[in-house]
Amino acid sequence: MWPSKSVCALVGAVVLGPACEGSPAPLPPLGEVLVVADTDLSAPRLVNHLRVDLYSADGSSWYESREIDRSHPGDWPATFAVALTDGEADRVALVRLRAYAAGFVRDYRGERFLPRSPGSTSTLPAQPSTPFATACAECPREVDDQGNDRTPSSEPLPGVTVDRLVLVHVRPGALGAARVVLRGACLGNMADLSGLRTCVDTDSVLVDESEESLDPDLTVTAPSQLLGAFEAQYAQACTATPRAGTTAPDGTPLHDEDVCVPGGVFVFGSWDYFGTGPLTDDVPQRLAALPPFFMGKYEVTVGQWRAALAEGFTSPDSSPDDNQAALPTSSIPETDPTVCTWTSVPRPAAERRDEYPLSCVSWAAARAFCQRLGGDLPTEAQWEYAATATAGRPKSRYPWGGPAATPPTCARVVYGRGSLPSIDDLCNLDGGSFGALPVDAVDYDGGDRSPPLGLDGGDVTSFLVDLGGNLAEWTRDAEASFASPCWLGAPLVSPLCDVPPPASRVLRGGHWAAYDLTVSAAVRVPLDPTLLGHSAGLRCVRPAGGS
Amino acid sequence: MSTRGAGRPTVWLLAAAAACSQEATPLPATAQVLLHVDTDAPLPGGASGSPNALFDRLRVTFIPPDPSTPCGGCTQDFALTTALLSSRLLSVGAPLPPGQAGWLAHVQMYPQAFASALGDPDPDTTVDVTASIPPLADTGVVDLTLLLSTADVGQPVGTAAAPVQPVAGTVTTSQVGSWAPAKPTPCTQSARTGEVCVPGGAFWMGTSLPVNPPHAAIAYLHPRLVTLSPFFLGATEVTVAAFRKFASPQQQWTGSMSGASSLDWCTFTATPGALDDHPINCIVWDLARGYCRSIGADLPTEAQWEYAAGGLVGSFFVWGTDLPQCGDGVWGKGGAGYFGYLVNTCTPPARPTEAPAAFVDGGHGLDKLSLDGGTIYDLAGNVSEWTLDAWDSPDGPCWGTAKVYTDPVCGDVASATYRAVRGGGWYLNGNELPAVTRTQVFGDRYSVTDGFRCARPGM
Repeated sequence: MWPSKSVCALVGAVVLGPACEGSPAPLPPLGEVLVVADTDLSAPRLVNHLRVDLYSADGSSWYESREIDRSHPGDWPATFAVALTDGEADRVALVRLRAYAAGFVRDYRGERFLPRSPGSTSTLPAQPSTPFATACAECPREVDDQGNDRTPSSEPLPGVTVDRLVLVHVRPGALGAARVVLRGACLGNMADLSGLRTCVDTDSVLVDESEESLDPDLTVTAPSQLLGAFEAQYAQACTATPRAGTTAPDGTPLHDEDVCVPGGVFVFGSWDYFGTGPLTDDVPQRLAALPPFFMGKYEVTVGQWRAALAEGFTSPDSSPDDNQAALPTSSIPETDPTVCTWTSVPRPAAERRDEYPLSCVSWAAARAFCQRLGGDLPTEAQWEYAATATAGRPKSRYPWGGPAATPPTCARVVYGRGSLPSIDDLCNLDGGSFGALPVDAVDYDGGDRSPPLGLDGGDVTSFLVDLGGNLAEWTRDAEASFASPCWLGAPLVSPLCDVPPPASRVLRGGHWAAYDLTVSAAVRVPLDPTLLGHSAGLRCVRPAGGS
Repeated sequence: MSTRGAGRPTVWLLAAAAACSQEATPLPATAQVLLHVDTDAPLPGGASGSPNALFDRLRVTFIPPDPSTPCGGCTQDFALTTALLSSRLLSVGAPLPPGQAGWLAHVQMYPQAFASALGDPDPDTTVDVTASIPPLADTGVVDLTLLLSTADVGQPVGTAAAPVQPVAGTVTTSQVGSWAPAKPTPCTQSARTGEVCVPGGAFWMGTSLPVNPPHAAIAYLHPRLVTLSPFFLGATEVTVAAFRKFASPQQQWTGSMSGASSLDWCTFTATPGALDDHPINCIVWDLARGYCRSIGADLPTEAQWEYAAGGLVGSFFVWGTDLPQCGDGVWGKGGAGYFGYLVNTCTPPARPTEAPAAFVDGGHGLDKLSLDGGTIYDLAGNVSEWTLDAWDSPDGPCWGTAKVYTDPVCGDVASATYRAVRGGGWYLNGNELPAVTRTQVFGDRYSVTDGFRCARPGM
């Protein structure tokens, strides 16, 4: 029933809309350059705000800062004018464009430029190149022509921002257009304001900004034809078929099927667990792009390990610990050797021991197991993406999805089954519900299952089990702050922070002895890779195009 | 690097949209309702010295007579700015079918910060008006005006069954920013030594973040619009030296810093000593309040405390949004001896755990709030602080209702059993430093972690 025009047209003749604030000033004799900023990211999911800052040509004086809401797909390309206030002389102005999502900001404490440093193995939080004082006395300030300090108190968080510098030349009496595409490939590449260097279209590559040649054509084609193209490159299904589940010779299900996790772009990191330690903070957030991959539907089981040994696989070390005794049925100390699930001598079938997830395994042994299958341990980014944000859904706190934080319950998640009163025994108050469970224990609708993973949501059988509980899972990445050069230098596509041993490795996901908070999917728990965690196991990933 | 003075090029930037003006086509000659929206609320982009912006988004939904009819494009979101209302005025056009009765306009003004992950407004923080639209004639524009009153926040005005009637006509002068309780109000008395005037104003108290960790005794308040009269607040937590003039608590420093005893970190000494500049701790609520009353003041209310700790603008930390680093304040220094289970993020492993650090200007990093009358220290860290209010859960009788709270103080202050202790401390982790952090504590309990500061009315 509405006119087919975009929001602008709907309200155009009558006023505004987010894209229609203000109106161009009277044109010549004063000069004006129309800046047309388009993006290949998706709006509003990944970008919905444009921060525009105007500086003198060398970046030393800061004239204006505007925050422009561009939440509707129809708001792109975003346009605005850089105009002369007198008609006397040519001016070259430096325009800084930052496309980002609302709410992802940090405090402005002066320019905190950090170049991307791919391959860095430094794991401690990076220091800004310019030390900042509390009062920011030496920072660039935005001062208006009445002398009022209008410096904004915050700036877009670099990891989720495309940050682009453009030099525009404004001539008296002349009109021109400068066209800029804010490319997803430049996400996380902060512009170097003092060096006038900026990412144009390649991750980790900054180029010298030269003066934009102006386009006499003032036509603006809306809506954007580029919007979403970056994400579409990655939001692909697997090209091969997932592996079907198999059984052991005695008929025991091995739970070794895997499922396709379609690719996508997501916000990696969250505030869920901030401040609890300098190395495991899951902030600052960044956008990460992931191609599709296959992931084990269940955690690797005792039976899978046994089958691999039968096929000639050997562990690179003495792990996993061998516990030939029955698993405890009531509370005992959590690090008792009989808590480990692996047994080299099969237990009676009634105990279903081979369907328990494999624990007390080193990082190296876990990784060797996955590599044997042509795969690897998941990266932290792959794990968090699979658990929170597949197929463009709003990021969830827990792996079972939903934008609201629906906390774990004892029926849903294998957690709170420890033996420490008031700490991790929430689901074991009578002492009779201790330890891990077979991997299919919560594999039911409403259990610890991810939402269906398919891009169209069509395949309801494609989901992951026990990301919330049972065992925490080894990932490939080293223990490192998200603010460290190792992470800041990690690529946008398939980011990874890989520091040679003996660096600790990160476990993801809750486990049988977890409490509510640590079931949260963004929580990162580092562990020495040689330690055999009683609540740590693994699941594998493999390339989506592989067999 | 000031830009004031000679040589400033005259270049400006317009948030103009040529795309819109070029695309604007004459509307079809159908009937149209033009809904004008105005508000008294302060919005982003106000002049220097204007009140805190309280809302930044507007959602307008036109609801057909049969609400089950799909209505494509019937919901529009707008980013609100002062300039939008004051210079251009905000109006939304809708070419509704002529002659149809029963159309409604549902208008919601809200802060984006508290919206859901899907972008939907949080009803508690929304000014929500449902208005009826009279049947339109075949052609022509019908101007209707709705005023969104800040005072109605959280209390929807009109329903689908009983909508309000918009005023006919257009807005000529916007009321944006005129809501009096939000205006910064200076103290009218003069400050005494050691206190700083916190000007009155309005802010969002509480947060929509999940409690971290989820725990009934650390229950963040839901977002609430609070207005406060100006008040004076102690520049520092009350020190051992200051407290000694008033009383001697039973719990005194053992003289040891080993942490072997739970009293090792109580700071009080009967005679002047090494910890005189440290905040007093190990005192119960009655004693803390008694001290404040003895100097003609009282404990701050939870609202006063959070207003100051959020930098008067409702920010996450007193300094803004950056996560705390160890040098930013006094925190993360527990974790040894009797308190081995506490947090030691910021204690170098080779050193003994520190007691609450002395008040040394510059030593507390970013944990300071600079106002016209002076600087207030240690709201985020050092010791956690008693407040005046009785404890109430976020959904309880004091804080459970969405409305405007004016100088709120919860419950029977004199006789309550539980109190709200506010702020992070030397023994806590970074995730407990935000201004919204509140912990339920038994009023007769004393702890090495808890001290206080005083407040009194500013007018």
